[in-house]
Amino acid sequence: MAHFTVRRKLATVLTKTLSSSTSSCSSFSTLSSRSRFAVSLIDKLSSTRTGLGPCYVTTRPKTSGSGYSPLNDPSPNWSNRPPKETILLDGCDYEHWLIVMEFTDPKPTEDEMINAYVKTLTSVVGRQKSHLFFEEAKKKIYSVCTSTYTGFGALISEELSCKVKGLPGVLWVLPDSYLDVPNKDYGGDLYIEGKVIPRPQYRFTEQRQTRNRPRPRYDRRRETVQVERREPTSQNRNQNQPQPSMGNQAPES
Amino acid sequence: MYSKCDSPDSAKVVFDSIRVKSTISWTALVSGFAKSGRKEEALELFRNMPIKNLYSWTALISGFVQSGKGLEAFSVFTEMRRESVHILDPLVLSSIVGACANMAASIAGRQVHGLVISLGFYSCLFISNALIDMYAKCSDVIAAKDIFSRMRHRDVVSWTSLIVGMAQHGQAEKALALYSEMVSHGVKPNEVTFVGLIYACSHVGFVAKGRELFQSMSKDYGIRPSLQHYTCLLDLLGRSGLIDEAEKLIRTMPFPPDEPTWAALLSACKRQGKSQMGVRFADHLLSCFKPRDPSTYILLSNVYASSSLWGKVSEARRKLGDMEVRKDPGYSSVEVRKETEVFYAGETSHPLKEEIFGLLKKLEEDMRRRNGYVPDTSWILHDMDEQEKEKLLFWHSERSAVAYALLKGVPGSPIRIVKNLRVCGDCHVVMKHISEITEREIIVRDATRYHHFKGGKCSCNDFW
Repeated sequence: MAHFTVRRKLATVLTKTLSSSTSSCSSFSTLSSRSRFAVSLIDKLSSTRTGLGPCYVTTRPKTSGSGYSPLNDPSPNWSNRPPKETILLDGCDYEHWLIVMEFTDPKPTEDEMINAYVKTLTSVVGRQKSHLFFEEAKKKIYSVCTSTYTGFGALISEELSCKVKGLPGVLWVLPDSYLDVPNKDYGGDLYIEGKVIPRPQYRFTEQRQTRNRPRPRYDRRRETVQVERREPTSQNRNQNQPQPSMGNQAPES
Repeated sequence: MYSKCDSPDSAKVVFDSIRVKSTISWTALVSGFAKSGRKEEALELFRNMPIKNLYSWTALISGFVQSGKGLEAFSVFTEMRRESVHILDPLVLSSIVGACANMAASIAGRQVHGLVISLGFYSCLFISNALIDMYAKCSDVIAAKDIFSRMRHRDVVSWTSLIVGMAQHGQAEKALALYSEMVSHGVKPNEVTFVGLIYACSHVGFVAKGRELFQSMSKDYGIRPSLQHYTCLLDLLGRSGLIDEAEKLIRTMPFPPDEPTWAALLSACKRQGKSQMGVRFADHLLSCFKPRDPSTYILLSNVYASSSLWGKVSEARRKLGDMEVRKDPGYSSVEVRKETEVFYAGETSHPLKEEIFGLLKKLEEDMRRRNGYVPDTSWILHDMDEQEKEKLLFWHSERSAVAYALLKGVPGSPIRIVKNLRVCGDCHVVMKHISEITEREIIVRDATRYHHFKGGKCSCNDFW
C-alpha cells in the first residue's frame, strides 16, 4: 500500500493552505477555508442533505449478499449518503451552448466576427461549402456578441457541442443559462434567421460596470415587436434589461 | 466584529440591542451565522431582512461556501438570480466558483464560467484565479491552463493555483517548469507554492530537486517549513527508498509527527521490503497513537503479515473491529451529461443494473483474455471465500460509475468520477484495462489524489 494516508493529508493541506495563504486577497477569503478534497467532501455532501433547492436523496434499497461484509450490513450508516443533486442554473438545459471564440489581431469587424460564428457552426452541422448547411447553422444560433465577449449562443446537442470545442478559434464551449432569469433571456444580441437585433450589453471596466454600447438603441417600433425565440420573451426589451443600480434596494433610512 | 470572530450569538446580542438596524448590521449578522454553518438561522435572518442588497446576498452565499455548504450557497445564488439582483461587484461569482471547486462540480462550474463571461467579468483577476482552481479540482488541467494563459495580469495566487493543480494531477515536470517561469517573472512564491512543488517532486522521485526546494524555501524566501512541507519531503524520501534519511528527518523535525506521517513511513518500509524497520514503526504507531483511519489498520495488518507476526495481525484487525468504525460506504459520483449519478459499493438495485452488469462482465472477459487479468482479492480484508471477495470487488462503486458513463455519456468524452474512499489496488488495475479497451480517458478523484487513466496507464505511476 502506498502513502495514501499522507496523500490524503497532503491533499487536504494543499487546498487548506491555498485558501488561507491568499486571505489577503479578498476573493479567497470568501472561499471555503476547509479542505476541498474528498475527505471533507464527504462531510460537506453529507451535511447538505436538507439544502434549499431540490435535493434528491437516493432511496435505492441496500443490496444483500452472502457472508458478512460492511457492504451488506443490515443497518448501514446511510446518514452520510450524498444527495443526488444536479446543480443547474435557470435556463441551463445542455441544449443551449455559449461558444466563445478568440480572434487574433487585427481584430475583425463585427460583421466578420458574426460570419465567423456561423462558419464555425456550419462545420459541425454540415459541409462548410454547402449553402444549405450555412443557412441551417444560422437557424441554430440564437444570440451573438462582439463586445462584452466574442461569441455566440447555439441550440445544439451536447454531442455536437463537444465537436465544436476542437475547432480553430474556439476558446470555450460552456452550457448557457439565462442572463435575465425572470424574462428567460440568454443575453447577447438576438440573432434570428441571420438578423442581428442589438441590445444593451455589459462591460466590465475593472472599476465599475457600465452599459456601454456603441450601437444605436432600438427604434420605437422594435420595442413593441414580439420577438419569437425558443421560449416566449417579454415584449418591451428595454424594460427587461437589469437596471444599473443594485436590484431590490430601496434607499436606506 | 463578533460575526468575524466566529461568535454569531454574541453578535446577535449586540444586534438585538440596536434600535434602528441598518442593512449593514443585518448583513454582518447573516454573514456570521452563515460562516458558522448555522444554516437555518442564517436563512431565517436573511428572509426577515427588510432590505436586501447585493452585499447581503453575497454575505450569505460566501458564508455558506466558507462553512462547506456549497449546495445551499448554490440554491441561494439561484434565488438571487431570479430576483434580478444586479451583479455590480463580482465577489459573489468568485464565491460560487469556489463552491463548485469544493464540490468538484464541473457541471455547475462550467455554467458559472459561462455566466462570468456573459456578465463581462472574465478579465477580473480573482475570478480568474478561482476558475483556475475550480477547473484543476474538476480534473480539467487543460482548461485551467487556458484560463491562466489568457490572463493579462497574474499574481502569486494565479501561478500557485496552476502549479498546485498540475502537481495534484501528476504533472510534475510541468509544475516545476511553471515555477521557473514564475520566478523569472519576478513573482515571489509563498508557502503553498512550495507545498505543491515538493508534492510534485514526490510523484516522480525528484529527490535532489525536492531537497533543493525545501532549502530554498527558507534560504531564499524566508518561509519557515511547516508540518505539511515536512510531510511532503518525507513522502518523497520514503517513496525513493531513502528510509534511513526519512527516519532521521521524522525524529529531528520541529513538529511532532502525526499518524499520517508515521503511516507514510510505514508504507515506505513495506514497499522497500524493510520489514524489521517496518515492524518497529508499526509498534510505535500502535502504541503511541490510537489510529483513527481504518486504512492505517489495514497497513499495520499487512506489515505484520509480511513478517509473519500473526498475533500482531490479529491484534490490528481486532482493534479495527473495536473501533466500531462504520466506514462511510464507498460511493462514486459521475457526471454524465447534465446529471450527477451516484453509485454505492455493492449496490445492485440501480434501474440500469442489468446493463451495467452486462457491460462490466464483458469488460472483465476482455481483460482476462487480452491482459491476463485476475482479480486481486488481497484488497478484501474480511473473512469470506474467494468467490465472494471477487464479487465484492466487482461491485466496487467506481466500476459501476464507469459502466454507467460508458453507457450513457457522450461517446469519446472523458469520464470523470469522484470517489469518497481510496481506490483499491484491484480497481486501479481494472481502470487501466478499461481505459485501454474502450480507448477512453477516465479520471478518478479519490480520497487522496487524482488518477488519469489513459491507454492502459495511470498518471500516478502506480504510486498512490
